[in-house]
Amino acid sequence: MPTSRQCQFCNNPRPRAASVCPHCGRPGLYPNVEEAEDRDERAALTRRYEAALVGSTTRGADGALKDFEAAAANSSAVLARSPGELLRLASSDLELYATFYQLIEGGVRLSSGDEWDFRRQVADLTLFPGYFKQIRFAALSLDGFGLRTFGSCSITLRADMIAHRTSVLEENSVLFVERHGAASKKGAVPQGYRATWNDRGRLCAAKLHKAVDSDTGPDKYSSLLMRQGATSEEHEFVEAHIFGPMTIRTIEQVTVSKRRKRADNISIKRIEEELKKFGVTLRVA
Amino acid sequence: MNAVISGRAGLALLIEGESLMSLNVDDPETLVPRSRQDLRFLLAEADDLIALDNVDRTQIARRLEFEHNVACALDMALIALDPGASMELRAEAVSALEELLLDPHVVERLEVTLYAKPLPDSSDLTGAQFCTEATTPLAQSLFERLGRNQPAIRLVRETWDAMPFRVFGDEEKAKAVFHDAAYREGLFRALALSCGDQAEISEFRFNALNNKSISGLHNYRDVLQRWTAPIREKAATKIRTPSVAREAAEEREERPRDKKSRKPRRREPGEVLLQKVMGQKKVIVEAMKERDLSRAREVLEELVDFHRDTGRPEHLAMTLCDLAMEAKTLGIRALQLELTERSVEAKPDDAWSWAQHGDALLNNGRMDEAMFAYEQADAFGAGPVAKNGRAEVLKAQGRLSEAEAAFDAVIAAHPENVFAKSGRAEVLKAEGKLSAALAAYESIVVAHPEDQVARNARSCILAALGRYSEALTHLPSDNPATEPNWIGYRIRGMTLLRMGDIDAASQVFELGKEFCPWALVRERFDASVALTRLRRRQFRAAREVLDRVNSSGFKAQVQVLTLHALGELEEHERAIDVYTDLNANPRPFPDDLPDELFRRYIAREGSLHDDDWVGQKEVDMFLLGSIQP
Repeated sequence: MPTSRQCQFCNNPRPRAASVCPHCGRPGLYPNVEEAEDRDERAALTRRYEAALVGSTTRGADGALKDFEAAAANSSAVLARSPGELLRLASSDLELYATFYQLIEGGVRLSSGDEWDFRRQVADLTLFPGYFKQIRFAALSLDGFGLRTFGSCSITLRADMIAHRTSVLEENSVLFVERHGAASKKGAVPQGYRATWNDRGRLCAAKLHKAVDSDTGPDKYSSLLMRQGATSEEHEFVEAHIFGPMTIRTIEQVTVSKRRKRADNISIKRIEEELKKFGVTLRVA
Repeated sequence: MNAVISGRAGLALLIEGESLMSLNVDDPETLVPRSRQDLRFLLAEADDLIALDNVDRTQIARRLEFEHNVACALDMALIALDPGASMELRAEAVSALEELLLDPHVVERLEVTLYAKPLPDSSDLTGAQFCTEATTPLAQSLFERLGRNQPAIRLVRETWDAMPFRVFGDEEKAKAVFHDAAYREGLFRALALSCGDQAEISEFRFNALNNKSISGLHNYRDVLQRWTAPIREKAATKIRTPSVAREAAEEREERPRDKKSRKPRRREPGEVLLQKVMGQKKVIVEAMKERDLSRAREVLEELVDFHRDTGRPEHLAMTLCDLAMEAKTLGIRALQLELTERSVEAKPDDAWSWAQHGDALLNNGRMDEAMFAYEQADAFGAGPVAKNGRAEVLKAQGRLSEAEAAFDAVIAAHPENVFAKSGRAEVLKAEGKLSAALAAYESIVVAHPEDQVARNARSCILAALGRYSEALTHLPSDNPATEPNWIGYRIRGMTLLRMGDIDAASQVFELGKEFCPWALVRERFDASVALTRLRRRQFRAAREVLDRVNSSGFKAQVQVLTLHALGELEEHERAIDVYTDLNANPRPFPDDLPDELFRRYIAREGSLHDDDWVGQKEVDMFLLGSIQP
């Protein structure tokens, strides 16, 4: 993979990781999206996708796979956070959803220094060289729920606010990098496993085609696309990478589970009142 | 095993050797295996971690439940104090808070937090107190104390903040460490509650010096000495807030002068204004209790003037609604209506006022106007409160299928709304669909085990179905304290009567008639006493009791009993009048009993059923009617 691409304005080489052309100063597109749009990357994805279609056809499941692909192409990017974090965001449209690195740099939190933090940073450097501090993570979802170990409030992002700056990866990026030994040397990230937002349906089909049989109906799609594990390593999902800032206005809907205690449900209503000020709906499922 | 608990996160982490599992307060039966890297998310914002050593799972679950209740109580108090939240939600929060405050340990822990710092300027204690009502005495008292103690809380905090860091030692965070220990051990609260009296401050210091969590900290003696010394000095000059009475007197003296000089009135701190309002409201309620309505109205006019001078119309409307609910509780329906009329007039776009007005009109039997009021409430955004109100009116009008559909619509839009679910179950009951109604109440009790109203209603149906022991299991047998307790106690009496134990039932009803503090519930005890007298064939005594009952809430039932007594007493003309009136209005029970009484006492065609049948039907009429006043 070349280390630079041509600036669309001045035609000089712009380093892939640079969000601004060092020569003419004009902004580039979103580097994660550019990576996913790379010709070789797309070709590799197309090969995997076509192989998936062939495999499904031999099993008589091609129709079901197409249906699943169509559903996944309408999936949402959902992230899960605590009620406190959600209320902070809902307090003003100037409140930003910060990345892990921004929180550390801002002195808001400390790195725990544990093994997972280390693995996370290795994966981020591998997949998002030079711009990892700008990447926010979410998961593709069909039922509005995110990965519940990250918080009880599932936040669905507005597609019109993120589609242009979001890429998707077939699985948890930490596990992906480790599974493929992608951090071991430059250029070791395998191709065909990430896609643009608009191609997410194809990526999902390429990933999950073996799990789609001729009798797999829409009721199974949600759990196929995202399987909740008890720990973050056990979740199975398609990871969405969103470049740049997010606020309450980036959010379309919040989904929470009904709670047992009356007081907890009243707290949910309080969140609902705050969200309503920004046109965000709250769904209790 | 060991555990770490966070009430805020509603989660306990159970640690046994290398194994790490979590237990959620919503599902204490299920253990979930966890990994270390998830802890930062699982315990997000958990600043209330508690470590437990050598405990078993039951102890962990119990402690988690308690700690979560403490966190919920704080959340509910903060919502109640939050002027940015809707009044409807704040009132709901107060009601939920009341349930949590039934545990005195929760009260104490909540106050440890609320007393650690003075309330910020952005909080609305006045609004929180407006949201309390007669049925939330614990919350009312909590906010009243919180308001009263604000000067002391502020003094304790300011004195703490003024202490130099060096007193706490050389470590940069030493003051913060001491602060956390002092907060956790409740020292801020204890000192705030002691600071009006030198002897109590000395006692506070003695207890703090002997507190092991404090005595392990650097320079603790000097810290406590420096913290309490300025407060002791102030105690010598008594820093208490001025009494309500004195302030009110000053206000009365001051007002004409202000009006005459036409100068703008001096702005008073919200706290003093609040105390005045609370003081006058108390006088009005006392006058209502003594049935001195002219005195109540006189003070009310002063309060209305005061609000108009100093407050916002929404505060006046809230005061009037609050007093209307007191009037309702005391059974003074005309005054309830008068107050809600004024509330609507004060703030014609206030959803809550319209909803209260709808309730008052319903209680006064003015159904069409009640329907209009609830429609207004709905239009101004009262939401499910208004929609439930409309359904209640339909039910009272005997339009049961429409009422059922109306409640269904609320449930579809607000599946968590217990009032709608109870309302629907009540309609099913009134329609005679007892199995369906029982199932509906069972599901409410499962989802809301704390809801005694639903438990009472379920017992009514069980009793009507002859499942007496099941009915009695969930009813209070003695010492009723709350309004739902008293209602449940009355249902116990009805159940005993249906079982044929007239003496035991009579004892229950006489006790309620004498001691129940809720006027509308007490009226129902009166009617129940009449039931036992009818059973004992003491018809004159029954009629005397019934003549004193004057509730529109169960007028039809009282008319049936009156018809029975008059018939037996051969007061034919009066019996015809009562029957005519009974027949002219919708009634929430089947026709078979009125038909039997008509046949016996008016048409004089003899009887189709025996006296036992009549007795059972008379009890069922109450059991299967609305049990809430």
